[in-house]
Amino acid sequence: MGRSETRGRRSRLVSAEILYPALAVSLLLVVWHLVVVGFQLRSTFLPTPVAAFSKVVLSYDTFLTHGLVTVFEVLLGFFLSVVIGVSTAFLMVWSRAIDKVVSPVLVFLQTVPYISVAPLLLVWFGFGLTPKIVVSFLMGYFPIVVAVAAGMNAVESDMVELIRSMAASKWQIFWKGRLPNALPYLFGGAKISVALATSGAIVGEYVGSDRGLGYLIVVANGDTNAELLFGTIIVVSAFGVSLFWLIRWIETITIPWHVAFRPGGDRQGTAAP
Amino acid sequence: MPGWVARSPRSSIVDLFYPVLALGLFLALWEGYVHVSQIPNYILPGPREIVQGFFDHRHDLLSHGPITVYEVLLGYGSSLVLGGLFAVIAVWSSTLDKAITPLLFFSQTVSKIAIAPLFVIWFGFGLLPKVLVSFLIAFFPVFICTVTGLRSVESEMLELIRSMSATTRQVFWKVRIPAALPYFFAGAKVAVPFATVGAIVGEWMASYSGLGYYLLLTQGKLDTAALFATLLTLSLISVVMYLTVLQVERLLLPWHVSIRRGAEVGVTM
Repeated sequence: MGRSETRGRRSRLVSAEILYPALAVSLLLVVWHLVVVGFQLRSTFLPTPVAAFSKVVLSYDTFLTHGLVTVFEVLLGFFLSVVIGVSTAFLMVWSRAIDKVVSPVLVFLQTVPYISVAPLLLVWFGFGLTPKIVVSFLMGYFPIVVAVAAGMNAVESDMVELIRSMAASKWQIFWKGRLPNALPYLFGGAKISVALATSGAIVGEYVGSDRGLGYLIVVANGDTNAELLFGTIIVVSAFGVSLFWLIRWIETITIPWHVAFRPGGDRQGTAAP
Repeated sequence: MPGWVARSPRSSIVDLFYPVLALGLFLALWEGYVHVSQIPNYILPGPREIVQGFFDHRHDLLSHGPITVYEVLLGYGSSLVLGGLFAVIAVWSSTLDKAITPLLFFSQTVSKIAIAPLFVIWFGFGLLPKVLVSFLIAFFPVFICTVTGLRSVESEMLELIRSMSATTRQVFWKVRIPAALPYFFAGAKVAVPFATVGAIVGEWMASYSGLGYYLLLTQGKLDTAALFATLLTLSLISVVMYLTVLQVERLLLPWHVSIRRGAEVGVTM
């Protein structure tokens, strides 16, 4: 297949990928607006999309102040998930003994609903940022461990034997064989992890806080201020999508060889609980 | 290779030895630390106190527990049914696929946890908002994994069975569905903690019953031993559900489990 042909196909793919969702979403917004106007729903029950979006624009300073707090919590929590998650996976692949102890425990630990430790963390760390960062970290941690461990193990044994036969040390096998192989998996895990980390921070704010987007949601809920609630939902969603695209962008820079032939299968990463 | 990928069911008792040993050591250290450091028990109760907390609050746990279990099971069950069904629809008809799938993907950009308060405004304090949040969070992993599974059939296989003049329906039942089942279960396993989280967050928004509510109650009373006991109960619910799904998978797909590699890492597919 020629290069120009590939590019043509890709641009057509992109336009289909953007056009249909855009159409579907605009349709949804129009229907939403008409329903609210047609049935004369009270704005405390369901505001029009216009009202919700103009709330975002008009109160942008509120959203900015509270948004930055949440951004900080999520980024720090996510950063910890990546660092500690990759280290855990590294240790598990490095040593059979550690793997034997940690793996069975991890299977159960990853099914724990981590959001429920938020009240406990509040007892331990107070109302500050720490409990939110910890919940965010706990939520984001497991997808990273699972993905990276799977990636490091997915190196073909022929490949490992080949570099071993060239007298590569265990360390070299790791750096040149296992690690590059794990990168695509890491990014796959990171896309899920970042969405979970966002939920973690917001729920941490639900449980006890005086700032952040989760706090705004609680306030809006208490005042039955649906416009503020919808505005915050829009901001949270936009934030989630931006993080997803940020990771995708880092992915294209770090492992360009991989993204090129990936059959568009990474969209599920946007799945934000 | 990590143990959870390679483990065969037969060696599981031997495999459990080291984790149990590590866990015992951990609990002993914890108990020792609590005694030596004289840390107040509303900050960190020892394992023995937590067991005591279980016992002391067994009536509360037994009255709030079933409510949460009910919410989780309803949300989880509907996510399995509808997730599977939508996946079949999306793969069956390309027109419906084009209409539904973009909307579903778009809906995923909206944080379900952020819209939980909305359900309180719309549906009140009852069961429905909790079930709905639980369902919405658990739905997508099931849907996306099942779609991937239904599409994972090799084209040679499809051509072969078509050349034997199989109808579309036969192709679906004999080829696509069996191929999709392992993926469906991978999604179902990921969805277990999601469904639990959904119910808890739903209860936190507005409720006066359920373990999520009880968690906040014990926190307010600074009864940390009871809080730990509630946390453990919630985790237990999740783990039991997970093991049930694992067992059902083993029963339904005996051919698959033996050759499974990394089906546990369903999210990353």
